[in-house]
Amino acid sequence: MKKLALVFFVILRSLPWLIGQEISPYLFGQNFWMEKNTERNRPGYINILWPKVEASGIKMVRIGGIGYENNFPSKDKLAAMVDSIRAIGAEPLVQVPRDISEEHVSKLISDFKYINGKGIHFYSIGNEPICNGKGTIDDVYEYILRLAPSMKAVDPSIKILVFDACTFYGEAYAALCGGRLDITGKDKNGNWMIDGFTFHNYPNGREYNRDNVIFSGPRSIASQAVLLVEMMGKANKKHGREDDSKLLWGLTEVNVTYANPNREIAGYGNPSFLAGQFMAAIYGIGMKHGALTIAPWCISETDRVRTDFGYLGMPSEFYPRSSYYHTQMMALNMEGEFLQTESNNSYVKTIGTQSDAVICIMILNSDNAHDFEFDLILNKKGDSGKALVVRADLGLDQTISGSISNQSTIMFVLSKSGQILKHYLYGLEHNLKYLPPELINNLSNNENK
Amino acid sequence: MQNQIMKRAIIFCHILLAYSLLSEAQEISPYLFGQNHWMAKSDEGDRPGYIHLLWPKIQESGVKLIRIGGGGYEHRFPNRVTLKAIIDSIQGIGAEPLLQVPSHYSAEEASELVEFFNKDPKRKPIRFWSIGNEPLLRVRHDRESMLKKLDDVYAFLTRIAPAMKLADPTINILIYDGSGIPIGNTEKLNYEAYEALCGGRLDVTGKDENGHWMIDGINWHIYPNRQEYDRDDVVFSSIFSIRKAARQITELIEKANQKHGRNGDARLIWGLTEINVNAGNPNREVSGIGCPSFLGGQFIAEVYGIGMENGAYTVAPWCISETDRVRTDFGFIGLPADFYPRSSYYHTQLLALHMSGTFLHTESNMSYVHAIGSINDSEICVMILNRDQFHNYEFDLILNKDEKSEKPLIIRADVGLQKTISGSIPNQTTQMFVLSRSGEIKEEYNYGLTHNLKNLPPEKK
Repeated sequence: MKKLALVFFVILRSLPWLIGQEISPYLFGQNFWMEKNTERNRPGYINILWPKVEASGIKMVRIGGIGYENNFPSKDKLAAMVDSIRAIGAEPLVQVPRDISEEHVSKLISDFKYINGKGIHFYSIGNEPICNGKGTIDDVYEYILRLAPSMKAVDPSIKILVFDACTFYGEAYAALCGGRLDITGKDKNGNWMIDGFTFHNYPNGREYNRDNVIFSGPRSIASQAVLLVEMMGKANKKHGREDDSKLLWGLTEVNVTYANPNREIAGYGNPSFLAGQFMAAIYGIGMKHGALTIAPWCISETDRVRTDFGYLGMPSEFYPRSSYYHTQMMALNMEGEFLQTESNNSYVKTIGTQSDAVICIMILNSDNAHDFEFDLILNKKGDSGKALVVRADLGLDQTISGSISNQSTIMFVLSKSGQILKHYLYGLEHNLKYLPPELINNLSNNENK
Repeated sequence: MQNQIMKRAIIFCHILLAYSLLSEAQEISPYLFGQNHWMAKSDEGDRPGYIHLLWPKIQESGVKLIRIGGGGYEHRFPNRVTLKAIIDSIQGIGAEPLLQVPSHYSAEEASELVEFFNKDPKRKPIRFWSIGNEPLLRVRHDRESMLKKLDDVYAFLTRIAPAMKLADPTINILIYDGSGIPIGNTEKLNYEAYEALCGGRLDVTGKDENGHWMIDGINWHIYPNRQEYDRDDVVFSSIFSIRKAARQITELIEKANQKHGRNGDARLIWGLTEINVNAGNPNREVSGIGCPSFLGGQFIAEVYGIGMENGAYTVAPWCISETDRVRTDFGFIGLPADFYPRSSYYHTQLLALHMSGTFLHTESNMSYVHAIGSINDSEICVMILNRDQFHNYEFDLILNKDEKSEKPLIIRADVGLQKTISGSIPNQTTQMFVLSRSGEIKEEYNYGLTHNLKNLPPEKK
C-alpha cells in the first residue's frame, strides 16, 4: 500500500502545474539518534521513547549520520532498529558506510530484502563525505559506482539516495546529477544506479540571531531545494526517467544550527519554540518542492547543550519540544497536496495543504513582540482591513477571522466548504509550561461573508 | 587540630559580634555561603546523581558549609561508608559539614553517631548538627494538626539533642529545619511553631538535664513561591518575606537569649538551610523566573545579602545538582554532561570569594536595582543587581553620605570617602566592585543574562 502511495507520489510530483504538488507519504521524517552507547558511553533513550515518536506522526526514520558511518550496526542490531521503526508505522532509511565492501553490502541487501513491507526499501550511501574541505566529489563518485550497482543487483526494487552532503554543494550535486560524473543513468545491469539525492543543512553556526532563523535559514534551504529539483528535472529528461523512476530528493539532516547555543525555549536554538516554527517552515518547503522526506536531526540527544538537537527533551520527563508539536500538528493533519498560501507580513508564514476531505492551513507568527488581528481569506479577491491577511485561493467565498499572539502558531483544519473542523493553538506560553497544542473546536468569530 | 581551634575562634568571634547591638556592623559568618549535598547517585531510588564528579566546581564556588539533610536523608540515612565519604569530600574542599540526624533516631543511636565521627582521633569532628527535616510539612495546612505534630517535634528534640551533647558537648545543634506555611501563592515563616520552640511553650533553648545548652540555634527553610508567580514576586515579595522572616527569627532568638542568659558564644545562631525561588520549578529558562534562571541567581545573591545583614551563620540554597526533572531542578550546577554553572553558582562565587568582614549597608534609588555590600580591613565590596527586565541605567556609586548625583541610578555606600564611581549597568545584569579602603577599583566584574545564555562566567574587567 505504501509502495503504491509512493508510486502515485512520484508520478504526481512531476505535474505540479496540472495539479497541486502531492505530499510524500514519507515527508515527515526523523533521525534515529541517539541510543545508549551508540557513541562510547554517551547516554541514549530511544528505547523508551518509541510511543512518543509514534505519536509525533513521522513516517520515515533515517539510520544515518557520522556515528553509524563509523560504527555500522551488526545484523541483529540493525534488525532490531528496523523492527522498532516499522513497529511505529514508519519506513527506515538505512545509510550504508561508504567503505563497506561490495560483498558485505550485497549480504546486507540480501539479509534485509524488501518483501511485503518488511526489510529495507530506502538506502543511502555514506555521510557528509566532502564536508569541511575533506574528500572530493570524485571520491564520492567512485564509491557510489562501486557500491550502488552491487546493492541494486541483489534487489533492484530498493531506492538508493545519495550523497548526504553537509550542505548543498551546487557544483558537486550538478556533477553527479546529469553532469560530468553523472550517476543518474542505468548501471551495467540495467538498473537505475541511484534513485535520488539527499543533502543536509544546518543554516546557522555559532553566531546568529532570531531573524536568521526566520528568514535567511529557510530561504537558503528553499533556494537549494529549487536548484536540486531543477537539476533532477534535467537528469530525468536526459535519461528518460519517468513516473516512478523519476529522481527523488530529501533533506535528511536539518536543524536551526549545528552548534546549539542553549536550551532556551524563548530563545532561538534548536530546542526553542522558534525552532519548531523553523522546522514547520522546512516541512513546508519540502511539501512545496516535492521532497520525499524531511528528516530533522534528531529524536533525542540531550547530554550536551551544543548537540542538543532532539525533538524530545531532557530525561526524565522527555517533554516534547516545539519541533515535536509542530511536526505532530502537520503530520497528523496535512495530507493530499501542497496548497499555495500567502501572508502580507514577513514575520508570519503560512503553510497549506488540501486533500479530498480537508483543507489545512498553519499560520506561524514568529514575531517576537507583535500580536495580530487577522483574516484568513479562502479566495483570490476577498478584501480585508486587518493588519494580517492570509490568503489561500480555494475559490471559497469564506473568510475566517481571528487573532494570533506573538510567538504563536495556529492551525485550521477546514472542511472543503471552509467550515472549521479543528483549530489548534500552540505558543511560547504553552511551550514554557510543556503543554501540547490546545485544540479549539470552533472559532467563535467565524464569519461567512 | 590547630585549624579546628582557629575555626572555633572564628565562629566564636562571629557569634560574639553577630549579636552585639544592631546599630553596629554585622560580622559576616565564615560559613555564610552554604549549599546542600544533593543529589548523589542512589540517594533516591534510581535517580541519577553526579556530585562525585562535581567537587572541583563546588570548591571553586567558594561555599564553606554543606548540609547533609533534607527529606531524602531523613528517610534514607546514608550508611557509615557513604556518610564518611560524603563528609570527607566536604572537608576535603575546605567546607564544614552540617549533618542532619534522623528524627526517628533513639537517644542511643544519636549518641553513637556523634561519637563515631567526633571521638575518632583520626577524624576532624563535625561541628554542626541538626535533627530531622521539615517535620510539619504534611500538616502545615491545618493549624490543629500542626500544633499536635509540634509536640512530637518537641519530643524528638528533647530525646535526641541531650544525648548528642552528652557525646560531645562542643557540637552545635540547630533545629528544626521547618518548612514555611503556604499562604495563597506564597510561603511564609511558620512563626507560631518557631515561637513555641524558641523560648515559648515548648522551649528548647535552655539547658538540658546535663547542664548543656540543649540546642544552639534555629534552622529554617523557605521557598517563597508556589505554583503561580511572576517576575516581580521573585524581585520583591519573595525577598520581602524572607527579610521579614529573618528579622522575626532574630527577634525570637534575642528573646530566648535574654530569657536564659545566653551570652558570648552561647548565644543562639540561625541559618537558612534550604532556600530557592520556589519549590516547584516551572522550567529551565535562563531568561525566565525559575530556579535555574539568571534572575534565580540574583535572588540567591539577595538572600545571601539578607543573611549577611541579619547575622546568619549560614545560608544554604537547595541544592548542588538535581537535574533529572524540571520540577525539582534546583541545582546551582546545570545539566550533565556539561554541568555548566548557573547564575546562582556565579552569584554565589562572586560573593563568597570577595565579601568578607562586616556587612556594609548600601542604598539604591531604584526598586529594581539592589545593592549588597561588605567591608573588611583591606577592601570594600559592592554588588549591584539590576533585576529590571528592560531598563539599562547610567549610575553613580557614591561612597559617602552627602554627595549628590544627576544619574538615574544612584547607589550609596557610606564609607566616608569622597569618591564616586560612575558606570552603566544593562538590564538583567549584576556588577561587582572590589575596592581598596581608599575607594580605588581593584577588581570589577560584569555578569548578565547575555553571559548566562552563553554559559559564560562573570567577566572580569
